[in-house]
Amino acid sequence: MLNPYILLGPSVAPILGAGVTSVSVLLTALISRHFFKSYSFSGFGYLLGLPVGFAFLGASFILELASVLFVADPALHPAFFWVQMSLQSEALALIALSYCYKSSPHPAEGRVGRGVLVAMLPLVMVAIPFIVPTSVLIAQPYFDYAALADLSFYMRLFNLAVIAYIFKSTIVSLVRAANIRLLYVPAAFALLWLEQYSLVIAYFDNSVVAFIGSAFARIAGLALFAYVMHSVTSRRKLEIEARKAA
Amino acid sequence: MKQEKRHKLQLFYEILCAIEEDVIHNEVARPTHIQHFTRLSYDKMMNHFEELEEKGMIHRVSGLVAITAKGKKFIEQYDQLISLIESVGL
Repeated sequence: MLNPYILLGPSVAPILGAGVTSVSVLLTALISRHFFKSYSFSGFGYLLGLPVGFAFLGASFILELASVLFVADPALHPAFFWVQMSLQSEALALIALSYCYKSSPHPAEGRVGRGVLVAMLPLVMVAIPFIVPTSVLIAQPYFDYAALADLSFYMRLFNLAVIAYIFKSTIVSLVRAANIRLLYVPAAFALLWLEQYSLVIAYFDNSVVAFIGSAFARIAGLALFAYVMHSVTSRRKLEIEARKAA
Repeated sequence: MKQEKRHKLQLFYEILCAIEEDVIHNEVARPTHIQHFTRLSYDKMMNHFEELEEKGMIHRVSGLVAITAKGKKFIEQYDQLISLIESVGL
């Protein structure tokens, strides 16, 4: 089984897939737009990973749905699935890159070994989602379902590690700022981690419950993130208006 | 105490806020007051004034400085940017 939507059956999978995908894409577009506005205003290079990452994440959800809709096509179904897996991992790696570049020390401040690690780690993180699937395709230049299913498991492990890194970075910021309002973002990433973990469970057990749980976790995580974006901008607008009125 | 290097956007923000603040307290904004608020050298501040004037965020009349609507919009956008960056833990 490549795409876990298949567990739901041919009549339910496209309908539920379309619903979950449209909500997820809408939320990722909203988040990406907020970050893109911030990036275009400031030009801070480290911010670019966030709008591009969330845009890639939205695109990966569309490809996931395409993989469900073309389930009977022996070429398109695995092709869409493969591109979706790569794109999703790449998206998470790009989001992590923003946190990585922001928290990395100035080269002069750390040791040389640490400096090299800090420089290499983002490159490795971004390269893995492309190199691993491509190497599988080069080794076997046709879509081998079993190999692709195994690959999806390794890619999800990569996703789990990357989200865990982002989660750790957000928790560190939360502790530094000692502001409970900052708890929402780590919670959102924890939900996205739970989504990937549930998909790993679904991969091993073919569990419908785990898969539906993963869809809920994804939507809840993205909705929480979008809520943070919206509340920050609207709260700030209110504060500015209050300051003007005073 | 050594002061942390400030980003150009942050400098613009501090200058524009200083102008607003000075206008609120003294009804006019004077370069010397702004220099005091922003802790910049006079030459550097004048260079930033020129750049801000080119961008249409301030205008200068007979030695006094005033903030434009574009300058006020910049303050709002910078405020939102900082809140957003802080809220996502960056």
